[in-house]
Amino acid sequence: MVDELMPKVTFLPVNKTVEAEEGQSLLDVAMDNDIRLEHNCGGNCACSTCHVIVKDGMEKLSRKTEEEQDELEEAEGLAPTSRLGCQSKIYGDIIVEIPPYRSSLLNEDVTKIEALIKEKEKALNLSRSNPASQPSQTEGKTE
Amino acid sequence: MNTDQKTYDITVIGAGPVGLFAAYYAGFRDLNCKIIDCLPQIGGQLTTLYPQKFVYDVAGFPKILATDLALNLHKQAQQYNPKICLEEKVQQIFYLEDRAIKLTTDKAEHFSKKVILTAGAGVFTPRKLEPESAKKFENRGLYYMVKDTEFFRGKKLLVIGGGDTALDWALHLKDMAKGIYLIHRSNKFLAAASSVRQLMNSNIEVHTHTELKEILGNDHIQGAIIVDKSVNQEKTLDVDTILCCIGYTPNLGPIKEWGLELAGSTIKVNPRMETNLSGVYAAGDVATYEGKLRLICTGFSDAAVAVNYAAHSIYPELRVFPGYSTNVMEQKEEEKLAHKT
Repeated sequence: MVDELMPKVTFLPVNKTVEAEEGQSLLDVAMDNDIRLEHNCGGNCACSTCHVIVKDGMEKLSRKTEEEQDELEEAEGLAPTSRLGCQSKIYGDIIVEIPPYRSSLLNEDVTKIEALIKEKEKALNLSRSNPASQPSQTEGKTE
Repeated sequence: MNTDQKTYDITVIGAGPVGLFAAYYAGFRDLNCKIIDCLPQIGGQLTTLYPQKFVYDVAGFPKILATDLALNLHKQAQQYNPKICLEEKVQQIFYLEDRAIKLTTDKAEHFSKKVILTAGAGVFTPRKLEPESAKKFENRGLYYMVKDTEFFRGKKLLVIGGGDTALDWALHLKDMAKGIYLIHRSNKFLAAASSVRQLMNSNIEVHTHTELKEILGNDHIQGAIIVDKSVNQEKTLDVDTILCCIGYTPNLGPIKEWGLELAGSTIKVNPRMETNLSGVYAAGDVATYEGKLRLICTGFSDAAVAVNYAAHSIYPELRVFPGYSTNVMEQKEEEKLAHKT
């Protein structure tokens, strides 16, 4: 059921629309809904990794502080409607885009890459713990 | 008000990586130095925001944990015993007749010949809780920072937050407290994955999707009502102490009123890292100049530039160029030996 009163946030390019609580930050909404938005400093306005570009509803976000603007200047692909996800509190329906350089790794790509990394790590660990022998399915451990 | 009457050569404001390196560098240039920071520990963002993350772009370290980088910088600075004043917020600046500078903080007055601002993004003020009842208990059972871990011994503790600060403290205090809960408004944690794993395997009772609704009690905390937002269910926890770590908001604070030439919340400096105020330098993230990149490595460079020019400005007989540390240190050792014999 869709709650008419709750603000709705659409994330592009994944094109996922989710409900948010009034006053929640964009970063929190993204995290709650498994939408990947980086946040290196933990959402404390001390980096620019949660950069988003607002496509509609700029006026429905909390005001931008000078501190946020300073961090934003380091963001890649800075646009006039750029905001930091961690500092933007939501007070209405909005549409935001996660810039391409971050969203290139979104969705299935992330899962695929993560699986790949795990596979590689596994192979690496195997060859490390067992440098002489070939990786094999046998259970017995060689000393 | 306890005031240190000694006039130091340099006062560094901000004990983050750049401030700590500036303190080292002041010692290397035979200047005595004092560092002031508003946080209860050194390291700035390294130890406050991402203690368990790796930093990869510090020269000479293929990979180093942020906490370890802070500890190493502290160790490097400690060679020259800088005076470190923590939990002090710098307020005002005064120029005295003898060209010395007086800084006032919320606790004391400090005197020095030069000031280097390495304040990063500014003062990190903890975000406060919203419930009305929270104000009443602030510093009377409800805390936003840990000053002394011993204080929490034997307490029935509720930790609020899902970032590194909340988890680090919860894990640190879990065996000292009489009982410990952690609530977080989401089920996604901002803290390092290893800390989340430790938390989930610990004796800490964790409630996700949960917020604090009300604090109970009159003079002291007698309990906390929490609400699980996913099922809208309330629960009363038997706690007497609450530690709230839900993030920080940075602000340059009173320094903004000093009359410094600003660009947003950064301070304009010339190639010698001098600000428009006499005797005041800036370095690291708080400083800006054409082409400035806000990185730890460029911050270190800013610090060295600032200290070298400050050294020459205080003692004109000291050259700006410091010499090469390999030679300088060798000479210093020899001088020490000669002095002994």
